Amino acid sequence: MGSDAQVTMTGPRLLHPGAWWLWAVALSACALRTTNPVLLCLIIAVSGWVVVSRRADVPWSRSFASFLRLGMIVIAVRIVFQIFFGVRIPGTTLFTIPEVTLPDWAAGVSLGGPVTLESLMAAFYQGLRLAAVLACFGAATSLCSPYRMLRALPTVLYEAGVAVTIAFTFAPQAIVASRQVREARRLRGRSDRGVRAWSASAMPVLEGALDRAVALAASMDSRGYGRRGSSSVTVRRRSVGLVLLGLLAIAVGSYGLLDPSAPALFRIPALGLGAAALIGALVAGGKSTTRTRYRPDPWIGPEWMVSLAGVVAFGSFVLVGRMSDALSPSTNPLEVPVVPFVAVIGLLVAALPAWFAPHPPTLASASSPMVVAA
Amino acid sequence: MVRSGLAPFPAPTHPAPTTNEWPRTVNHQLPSIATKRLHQKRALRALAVVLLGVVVSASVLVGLTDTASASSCSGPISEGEIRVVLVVDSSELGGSSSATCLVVPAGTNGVQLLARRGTELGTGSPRYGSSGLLCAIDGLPADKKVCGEQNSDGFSYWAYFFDDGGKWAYGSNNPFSKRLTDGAIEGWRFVVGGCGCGLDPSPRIGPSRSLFPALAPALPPAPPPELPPLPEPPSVSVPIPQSSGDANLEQGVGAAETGSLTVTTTAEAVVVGEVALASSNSTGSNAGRWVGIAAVFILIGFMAGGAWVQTRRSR
Repeated sequence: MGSDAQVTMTGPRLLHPGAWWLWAVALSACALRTTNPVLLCLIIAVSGWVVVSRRADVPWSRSFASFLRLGMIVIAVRIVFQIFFGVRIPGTTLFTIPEVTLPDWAAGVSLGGPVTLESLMAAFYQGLRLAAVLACFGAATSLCSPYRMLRALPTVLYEAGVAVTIAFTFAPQAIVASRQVREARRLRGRSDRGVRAWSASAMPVLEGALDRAVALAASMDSRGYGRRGSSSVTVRRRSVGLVLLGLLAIAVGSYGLLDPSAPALFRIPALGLGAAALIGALVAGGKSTTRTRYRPDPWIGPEWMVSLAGVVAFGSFVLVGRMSDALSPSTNPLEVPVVPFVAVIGLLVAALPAWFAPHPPTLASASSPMVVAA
Repeated sequence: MVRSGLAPFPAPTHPAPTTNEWPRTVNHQLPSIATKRLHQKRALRALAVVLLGVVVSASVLVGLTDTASASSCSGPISEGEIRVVLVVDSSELGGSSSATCLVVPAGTNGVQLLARRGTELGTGSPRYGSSGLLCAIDGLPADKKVCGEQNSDGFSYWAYFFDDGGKWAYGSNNPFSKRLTDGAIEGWRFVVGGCGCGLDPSPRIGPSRSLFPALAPALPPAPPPELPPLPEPPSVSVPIPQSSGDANLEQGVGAAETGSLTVTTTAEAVVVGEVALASSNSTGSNAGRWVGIAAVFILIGFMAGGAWVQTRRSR
């Protein structure tokens, strides 16, 4: 557990991946709390700006654009679904598509009918919210190495090691695989744009990404990752059960925190239960775990500042949500959305890591911090 | 499509569809750099398209209002019009129960009827949530955040009813897709602590035929354009049509059993004034909102421009 002598406050280095993930999760929690299109656009812009300013020159750092594109597809799909299958929302009718009259027992479902401006705007706001969440996820993926994130995970999560490895590395691996497949197509003199190219490369990309993630999980397993050492069967079972319970409770609790309409029981109590179970698992099973880290990532000033920037933005959103209804502008009747000043300031604070986070090392300045052995 | 969809490495016998010569398709730069640039360009273009979409859709925020001529509910109605009664019971919210007879075009749906009632009475248009759920009628509940609350007692919401042979039936369908027929009676009641099902209480005014004003006994060949204004509307069991074309029957909660219907006129004028004041206020503050939106988008534009410059410089 010896700290590395090269770690400094100012010099170029990779930030602790946990800091970027905290920042991104806080930003996406902001996005989930609002349907205000102005704030959602600002969230996308802030995450893009920070990515462009502080990403390292590594394959997965190019993934932000893919996430933006995915977000646009999400918006389009949401609007198309609203037009054809959405609940008929009253308002200014733009056009009418043929309506299928359903029997009485299916009166809650509608197929076709009048399409109103209000329904389209509501669908656009919701799609944009999901696109903003995707942009935050893309920012975290492009800003930090998935391997470093895995190394930084707490010991108790090692029980879920293989699944966690695949979950964390699939998206960046898919980006890398898609670049390779497209470059291969270009080298063969084929187009890499259009529907044909996409459909032709979808399968190799998915296959390649899953292959890479599984190979990584296998190599980590072969290096002893997730092994329990010499603990007894009962101890192991108890800690596995506690980890499962804790992860489940934390999943429910974080859902409760992100969704303002969830019952209060699903928020802090669930999170507390999950944390208690994980700590219990750590105490029950952690004693026997022997583990060393090679060059651990430090958590010092810049890490605190980056995660604090995200938390400040989230706090400003909570504050605005308490004070006014500007976070969810009315679409029926359609209103011009109010821009809450406090939330804008909070998002600008979240953009500050673009200036004070340390620069990532370039290939010229560092010997080999890019390729990290798991 | 299918053939090439599954084959990562196309068979060499299958010629490329392009007529380009081989050297022309090869980029002189390294392909990876070219791809990177392409990615950057597309990312920025995507961002620009998203921003443009927001600006365009925001500028469409001006709604249209349909203007309809109001016919008298007790007079003759023209071809293509129907006569319907809308009962609104907001007594749980401190309001009252009222029945309003309206003449609307055939094919009007429940939502249009509700909006029409608000226009005719001057109580403003109903408020809906982004999911399409009806939140408020006549500005009740007054809290703009409230829309169909759920708490430990149950649901508090505007329940929808329709006339089913002289008694109320719980409407589980979407009022926006329900087309009204002549003589239909529709009801809305604010339910507190309900189950959100057919057991919830119905409006206190029953769906009886007497809610329709008595028609003029024999339609005169040349009816007077307007009924002479009555000096003071007395408390009568038969409603009196207003000059605005509808009979607004306001009924206290306590008077529900006696069935006496009275016409109120003075309260309406006050409400109309309030609504006019509120709408002028909202148009005044819209300018401020647009300024805020413009400021944020200028900020976003700076960020996008800065990102563009940075990606160009780092190449």
